[in-house]
Amino acid sequence: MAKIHLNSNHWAAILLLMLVIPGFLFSGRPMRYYPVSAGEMLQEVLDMKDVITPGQVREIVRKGDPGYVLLDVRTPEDYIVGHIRGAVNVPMHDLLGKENLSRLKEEAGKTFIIYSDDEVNGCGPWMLLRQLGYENVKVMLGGYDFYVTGKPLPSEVEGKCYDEHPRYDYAKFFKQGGQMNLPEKKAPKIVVPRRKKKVVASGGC
Amino acid sequence: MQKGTIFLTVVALGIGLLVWLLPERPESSDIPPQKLLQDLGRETRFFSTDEVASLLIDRDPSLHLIDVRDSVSYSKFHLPGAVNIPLAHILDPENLDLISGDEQTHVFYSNGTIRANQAWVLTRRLGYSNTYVMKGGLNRWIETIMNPPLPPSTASSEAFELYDFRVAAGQYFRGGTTTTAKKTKTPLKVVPRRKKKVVASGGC
Repeated sequence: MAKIHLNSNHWAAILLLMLVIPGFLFSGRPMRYYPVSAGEMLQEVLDMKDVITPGQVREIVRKGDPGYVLLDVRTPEDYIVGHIRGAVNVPMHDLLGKENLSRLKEEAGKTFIIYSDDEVNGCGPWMLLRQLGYENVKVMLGGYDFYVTGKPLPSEVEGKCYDEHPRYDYAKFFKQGGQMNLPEKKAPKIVVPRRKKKVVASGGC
Repeated sequence: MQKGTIFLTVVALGIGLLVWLLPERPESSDIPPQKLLQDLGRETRFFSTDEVASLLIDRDPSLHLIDVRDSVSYSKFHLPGAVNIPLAHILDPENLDLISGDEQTHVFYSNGTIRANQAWVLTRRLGYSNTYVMKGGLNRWIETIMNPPLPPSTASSEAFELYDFRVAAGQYFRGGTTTTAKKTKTPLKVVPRRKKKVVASGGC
């Protein structure tokens, strides 16, 4: 076999190939969807730095602080019935719409406060936007339903999620050192007929 | 020949670099944000406390309960059969392995809904599709299963059936017959049944 002679053209071709091959490999495949890794998001969630209390929001609304934008992620119907003064309605399905995302980018100097009827429904949209790299979003604890009560968050939930506060001493409801026990033999006489009745009911009217 | 060697070396290095780059795409199983948003808007990710209670009573082997609270809370009290994966460790590889099986229904729970929901959002994002959240958490478990509210007399017969189920389930989880259980049993048993009769005669 003849010697392989490489002139500058060959080298250029090789270089080009080395650029093109990875290009092909990675094209058609989306880049990373989320600039923030799941691990980083988890840490954010645990740190609870991006939460804001209803009391703080009331203060912002009272002052009319221009540095904040309230995003109401409930349905337009709920929004019409009642919303926090100055809030913008961005229903869930519009959350990743161009309009909303470009606003988040353009007004990067402002802080966007997401709220829904409760904490849980506000937390999902917040986590989604955070994972997409929007750093200027916060979520209101307690949600709108708590906000309208006009009360401050109870002191015992300070620094925690309102929803997550244990309202009962769970173990008290059960004997045997707080562990629920699944009865082996004695219980069926109580449970079995009732369970069956439930099945009938669900199949019936 | 020397140049040929260089050429081959370069090609080998190039391929090597590519192979090295390939696993450099972490979290490639990430689902698109639009999909995650869609799933977030769906109520189907929730299990009610009644559904979980019913599955526990049936001893359904497909139910895999995951307590995402810290280990202290878990050791004080947890639902029967639940495993403890504190939220802080939910992304540890060995814990992700636990929720990857499709043959089981993985249901997260915590005191409320939010921590379990956060575990759901993170794992759903990573592509785990068989994960659910027990809505209302242990707080609602107590309020519905252990201490169910008596429906108003005008409630539907389904509401009374549900109430009866909850009372029975509560007794079941308390561990059956104790003196305290008996005490609560009698009034609870009599009251709903009487009312149910009234509803039935007036209803369908």
